Amino acid sequence: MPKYKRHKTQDVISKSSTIKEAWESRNPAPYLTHSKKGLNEDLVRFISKEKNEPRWMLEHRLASLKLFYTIPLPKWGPDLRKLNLEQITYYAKAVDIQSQDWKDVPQDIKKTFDRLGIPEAEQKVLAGVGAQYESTVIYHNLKKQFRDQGVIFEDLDVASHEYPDLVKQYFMKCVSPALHKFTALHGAVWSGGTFLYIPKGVKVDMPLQAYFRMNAAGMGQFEHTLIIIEEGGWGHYIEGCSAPRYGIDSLHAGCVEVFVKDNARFRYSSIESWSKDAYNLNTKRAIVGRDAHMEWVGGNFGSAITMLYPCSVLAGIGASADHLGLAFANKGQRQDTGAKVIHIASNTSSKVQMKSISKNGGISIYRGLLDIRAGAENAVSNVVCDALILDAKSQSQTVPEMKIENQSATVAHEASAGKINEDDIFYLCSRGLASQEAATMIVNGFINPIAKELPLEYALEMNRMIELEMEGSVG
Amino acid sequence: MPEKKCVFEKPGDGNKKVICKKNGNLEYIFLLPEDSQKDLTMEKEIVVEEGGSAHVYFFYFGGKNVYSTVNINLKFFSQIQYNVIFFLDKKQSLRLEENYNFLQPHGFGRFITKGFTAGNACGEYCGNIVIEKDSQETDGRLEVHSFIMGQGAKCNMLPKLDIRANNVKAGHAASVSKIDGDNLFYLETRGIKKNDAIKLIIEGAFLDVTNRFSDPDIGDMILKMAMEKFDSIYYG
Repeated sequence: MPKYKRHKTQDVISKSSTIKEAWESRNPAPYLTHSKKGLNEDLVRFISKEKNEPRWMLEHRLASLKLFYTIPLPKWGPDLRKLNLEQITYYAKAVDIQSQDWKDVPQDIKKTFDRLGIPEAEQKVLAGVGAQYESTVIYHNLKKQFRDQGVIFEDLDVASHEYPDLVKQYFMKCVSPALHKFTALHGAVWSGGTFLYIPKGVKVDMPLQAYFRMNAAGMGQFEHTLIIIEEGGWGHYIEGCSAPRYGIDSLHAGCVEVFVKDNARFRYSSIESWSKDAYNLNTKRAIVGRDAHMEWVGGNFGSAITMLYPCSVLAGIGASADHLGLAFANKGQRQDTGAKVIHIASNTSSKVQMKSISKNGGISIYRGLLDIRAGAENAVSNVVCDALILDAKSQSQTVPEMKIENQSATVAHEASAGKINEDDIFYLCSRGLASQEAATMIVNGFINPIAKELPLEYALEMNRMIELEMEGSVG
Repeated sequence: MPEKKCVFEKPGDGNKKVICKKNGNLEYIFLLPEDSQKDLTMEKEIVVEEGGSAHVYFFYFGGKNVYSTVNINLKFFSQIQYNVIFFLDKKQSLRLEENYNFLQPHGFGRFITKGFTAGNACGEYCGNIVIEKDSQETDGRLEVHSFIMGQGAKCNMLPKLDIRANNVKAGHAASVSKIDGDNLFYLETRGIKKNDAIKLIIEGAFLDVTNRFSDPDIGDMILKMAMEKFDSIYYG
């Protein structure tokens, strides 16, 4: 029998505590003195001028601003009326120049990313890294071997100058500013983010990562991620994000657009741990071509209110999508997450697997849409969502909508909700584990189908996040 | 076990609230027959009092545009087996909005809906299991299975869970498909023609429910209605 080193709870919590310190650390924000709160046309024009944008982008921003003023808040989901949009700082630039070497990044900012493990991960396991601090990308780099193959991995602000035709062709064509109020807001004030282009037939076999960090109190971050995978291309992109807690609302209304062309494969992974006073109103969508495959893998731990429903539009014959997600709602949190899949073409398939955990009064909600259009012959879809409710104060809701307009569709959906089985806890305690260790082990097992799809380092980080959230959960 | 009280109703019988009394035993059957061709909006409340056991069945065959709201309220240690079958054709439209509310602890409920949608009909189902905050030790499960049998037929489903207690068992399942190809193939290999095989499968779905009726005559009548509807769809 192999001997396994048993991790002591204290050792694990101390490593987890290092992550917690990294999230909670705050740097001074002198750049905020040049920034104003609130949103108006002057700010939008200022952002565009700062970036020296082409005319079409300014017009796009202004049109989005008009839409933002006219579209009302959604009438479903969490109550967003308490979010005071006039108290958010929409644009703050911490550094003037972007670096391609961590040595050139200002020390306090570099220290933040060091604690988060980004430079270390870049050396060991990543093909490239982008790091955004407040409204701008402060570091971006791509390994030479991938640049030589024609892969473009750039800050989107830079890409809009260096590849203007490509950016203009795809920018906000997948996610329209008219979709809802916060895509309109995003369209008006977006800044930073990632542009990833993988040429035809190129396989990027190491993950690319972007990390988004909000530092100052009351910040808004509106990064835009635009990903184009040409025919036969392969890639894996990971996003991480965090912010320290101030007790003042902050806002994240980012946008991710992915174009997966014919026969391409792409995985988008994200672990979001915004501070628990943040509103995370993110919009993510992929258009999937013929025989192409899209995967969404996500973990949502932070923010006071999250509304996040990655969407796959299966537009090509034989297209497929997998959605794997985890949401952890702790005290004062409302995780309203899910998946949307729209089957337009024939012979398309989708699989959705969502797990949620509610603790200490947290509320987790799975909200999904499965839409099989009339022309989608022989569509197949399977949706599974499981909820773990750890105490009597917490809640779970499931709202899975299915619209089926084709008689050849085969759809199955299953959901369950319950608590940790006391017999399982008893069994593990009888094997020498403390009750909290036992509960944590069971929860890690519960989330394993999602965690195992991440690269090892990120799966370990997710497990550490679970351990942090589980502190004090038993007894 | 107290004697079962059996109630059979159709639209217009005017009964908006159905009560299974404390420790009582109720069988309630509602039928919207094929010969009803009008638009219909109806609302019913079913209450199962403490210790009560209810078997409730709803059948929808007729109506043009039907909007039916059913609220089921379950009290302490109550049980309910709730079955709905709808069979729609041509341009019929049915919208079911159902709320299954576990108001007190130790409730038990099984809520099963089956739908057959042919022609250009549209069946919409919105069901919600709500387990209130102190309703611990509740066991509730919702299943909805829809079979689309027509080129222009549509189905929308929204089976929801709203769980506010943690020591519960709650789940739901939903499926949408054609009549199962494997089952059809099996019957055809036994020499049964395709349409007859489909009819057999539908008959089985109805028998699964009507066989439980205390009055077999009601079961036979409903089954006959289902088979006549099938014949009108497939044989004109």
